[in-house]
Amino acid sequence: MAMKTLPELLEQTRQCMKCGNCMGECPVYQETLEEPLVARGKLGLIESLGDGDIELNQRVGKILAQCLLCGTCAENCPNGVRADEIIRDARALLVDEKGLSLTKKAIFRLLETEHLLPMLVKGGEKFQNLFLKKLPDDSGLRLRFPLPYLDRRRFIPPLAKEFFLDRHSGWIRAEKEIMRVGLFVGCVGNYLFPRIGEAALRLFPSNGVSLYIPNDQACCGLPAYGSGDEATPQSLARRNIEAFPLEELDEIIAPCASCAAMLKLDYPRLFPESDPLAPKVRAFAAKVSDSSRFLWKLMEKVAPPAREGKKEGRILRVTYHDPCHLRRKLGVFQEPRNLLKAQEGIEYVEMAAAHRCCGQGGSFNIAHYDLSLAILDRKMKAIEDTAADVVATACSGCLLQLMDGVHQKGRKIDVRHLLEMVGQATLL
Amino acid sequence: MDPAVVRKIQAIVGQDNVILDKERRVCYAYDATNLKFQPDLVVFPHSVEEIAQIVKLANEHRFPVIPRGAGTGFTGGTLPVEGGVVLVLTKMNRILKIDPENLLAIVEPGVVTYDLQQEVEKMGLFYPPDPASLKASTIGGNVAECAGGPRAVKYGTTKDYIIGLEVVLPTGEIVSTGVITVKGVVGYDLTKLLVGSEGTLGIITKIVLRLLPKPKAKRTMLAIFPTIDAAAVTVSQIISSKIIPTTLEFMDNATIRCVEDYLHLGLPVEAGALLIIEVDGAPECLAAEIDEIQRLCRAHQALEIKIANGQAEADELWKARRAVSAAVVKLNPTKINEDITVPRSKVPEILKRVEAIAKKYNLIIVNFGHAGDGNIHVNVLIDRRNKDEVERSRAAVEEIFRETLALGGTISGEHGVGITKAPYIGLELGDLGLEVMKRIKKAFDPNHIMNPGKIFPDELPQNVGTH
Repeated sequence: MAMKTLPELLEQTRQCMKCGNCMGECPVYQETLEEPLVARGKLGLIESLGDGDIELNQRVGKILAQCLLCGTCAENCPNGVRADEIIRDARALLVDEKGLSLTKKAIFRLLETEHLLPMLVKGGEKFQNLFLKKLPDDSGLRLRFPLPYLDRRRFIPPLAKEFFLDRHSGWIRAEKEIMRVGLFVGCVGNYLFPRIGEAALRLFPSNGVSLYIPNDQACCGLPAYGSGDEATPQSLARRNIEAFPLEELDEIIAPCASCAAMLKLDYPRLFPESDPLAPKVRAFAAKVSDSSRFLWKLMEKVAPPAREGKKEGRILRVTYHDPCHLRRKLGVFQEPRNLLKAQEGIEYVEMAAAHRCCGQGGSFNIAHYDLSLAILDRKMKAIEDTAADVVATACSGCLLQLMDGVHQKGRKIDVRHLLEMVGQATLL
Repeated sequence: MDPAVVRKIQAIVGQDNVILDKERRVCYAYDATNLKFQPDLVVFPHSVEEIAQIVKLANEHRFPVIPRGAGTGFTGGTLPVEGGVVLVLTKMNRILKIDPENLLAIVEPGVVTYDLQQEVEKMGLFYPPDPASLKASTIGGNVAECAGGPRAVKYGTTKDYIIGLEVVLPTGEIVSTGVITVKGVVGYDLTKLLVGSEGTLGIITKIVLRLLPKPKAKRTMLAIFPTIDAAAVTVSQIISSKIIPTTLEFMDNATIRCVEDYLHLGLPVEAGALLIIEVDGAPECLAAEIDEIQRLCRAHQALEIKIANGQAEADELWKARRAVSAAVVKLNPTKINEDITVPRSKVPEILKRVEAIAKKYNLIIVNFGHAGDGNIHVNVLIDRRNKDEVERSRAAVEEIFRETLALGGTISGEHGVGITKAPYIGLELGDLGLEVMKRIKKAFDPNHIMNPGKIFPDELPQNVGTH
């Protein structure tokens, strides 16, 4: 059963006055200029389901799928309607009624099964040359043959030679321990970019933070949750909550903003008060923190940073892209900028509309690749206008999307996780 | 809809530009009135020729054609009350020309108002009309409804900036009206007739806009008054001291309380009124104007005055006003947003009468809006599911309209008539006034296919009253 019923959703859609303010901000609407693609249209659609004008069918599903869940509509709604949440919950109704597509079912099953995903990914590492051809500059891969759901133009970063969790797990103790923190690595951090987690290893234990990295942590479940599947993320949540020894940890940090938002905000939604696990889920969620806010607070505590880092020698121009999950879900946007500005050798430059979604949107990017690229185009233009050497961000979805953008455009802009930029800018 | 007609329309605009399935059509059944009427077909034309062909078909097969921009209107102008084809003009959104030498722009109707303003401002030019929906609304919709906005005090409304149009008439012919010059008096002013015609006299396909040089600077202040009278007298005094502010917005006590409850900005909840005043122009003149306005505010019992230093502080002052919409619906979910307008000097009197009406019908009514031009947003807050409350609100709105007219005002300053105000326009226009308008409509639209069921009370569909 989906966690929200149609009548419950209708109670929320009733708050929408149909003023149309969401059209002025929605990245998807601005590319398409068609009402079914904006929040107001989708809420109208859900109301029509309630009125019995239409029935829950695949065409409804298709319309509901055309949303990034970026939350920009909610941020700009004069009535505070959380259209992003309503749309996600409506997708769950559809999954209840019609089931998931076979492809999605297969993919989410992978996320859920304990050993299957790592095994497959490891296999994939050996075989990836069969399907993917290396780009000339050795920085990424492109599809050699068409695969269902994947566009051949797409840039796919190569799998890491060795996965993060294979190299690092368990306790990594700080010499002068001031706190103990769990590290949630996330799939992209584990399989594609171990360097993100390694930046955490470099930054935290040396500043008094002992890290605990559970080897049996799983995917956060967001890709399935966003598609309206609730069973998969519930089972993943159980595993992740089990994996972290809560009573021993002061906080749990996730470098990926999407994972952090999922663990902190959506896990409690997945377990209603009546669920026996609910208290534990809430205790877990309460300890979850985004890594940039955590790091900024830590720096203020351990070694108050300069507001402006020294600017000598080679200066790296760095801009920052706000992940939707960080800015709009977790309300974090100042700390990442503070961190970058405080670095030696970095000149921070703000891009136009840094808060605008990059167009990744989880499975949106796979199902609607052209639309996703069109939205990305505006982001790339804003990045290029800054003449930055590096664009930093803090979400794995954004990282992949921006890398794709840089490659599509053939630009020499480095895409990095924020943590990689801290404390070692001159090394890059 | 007759499948043969659908095929003809598909042949004109291409299949991809026609929405047949009900799931997507329901997304075009409403506008900002939140009322719902299902269209039979939704079509995205890309050129004036396509529109002309569709309108000719409409005459041949007698189906209604309803032009639609962003659908942000407050009176139901784009609702397909008799079904038919909704022509969505959002994809005709090119800015064809910005001419700094002649201070004009030529645009297609689907251009978003805010986007046009951004583009002209890059060139040091200025398009003043600023309806609250400007980030979403289209210029075409603004022209069809003659949109206003806070800056109307100084700069007027949409009609003051439209000098020429290209229009597909309800008969399917394409006509150009007006001029591209500053002056022009040849024949009847069809341009002015079409501005604010709510899509009943034709479909606007091209617009010639007058632009101004962008004001060099702007100052913003906020003043709080113990009574609405004190604020109103201040407004009159500012105007009679020969200062025309860009914007003179007010919030009444009920609105202040709402916003304070919602945002906790530290507004005094006992205050009778709050004014937000903006002046723009040459920086050397603004300081003197701000000083004078401040003096006038103090002379009329202002409890508190804040003057913004820079844009960030100005945004801070606007926070209260911008939060009004969100704040008031916390009281009750449905907001009936009327836009009566009275002569400036009558603002305190109409507010007293509205207050009495609210008491009489036991309704929550909050008032805010454009004190500088007498345009008051009277917001009746109800729950649409409460039938009794809906009935009382209808009676209250009618009484408010009567009082407005008694004070020499108009029942709509900027929202238009559409269907929600149609039952009342006879009160303002009189029988003959209404009759003249009907004759005009008939002359333009003999087969009655262009946005039918709007403006004229006897055409209203059975199932609509106000809201």
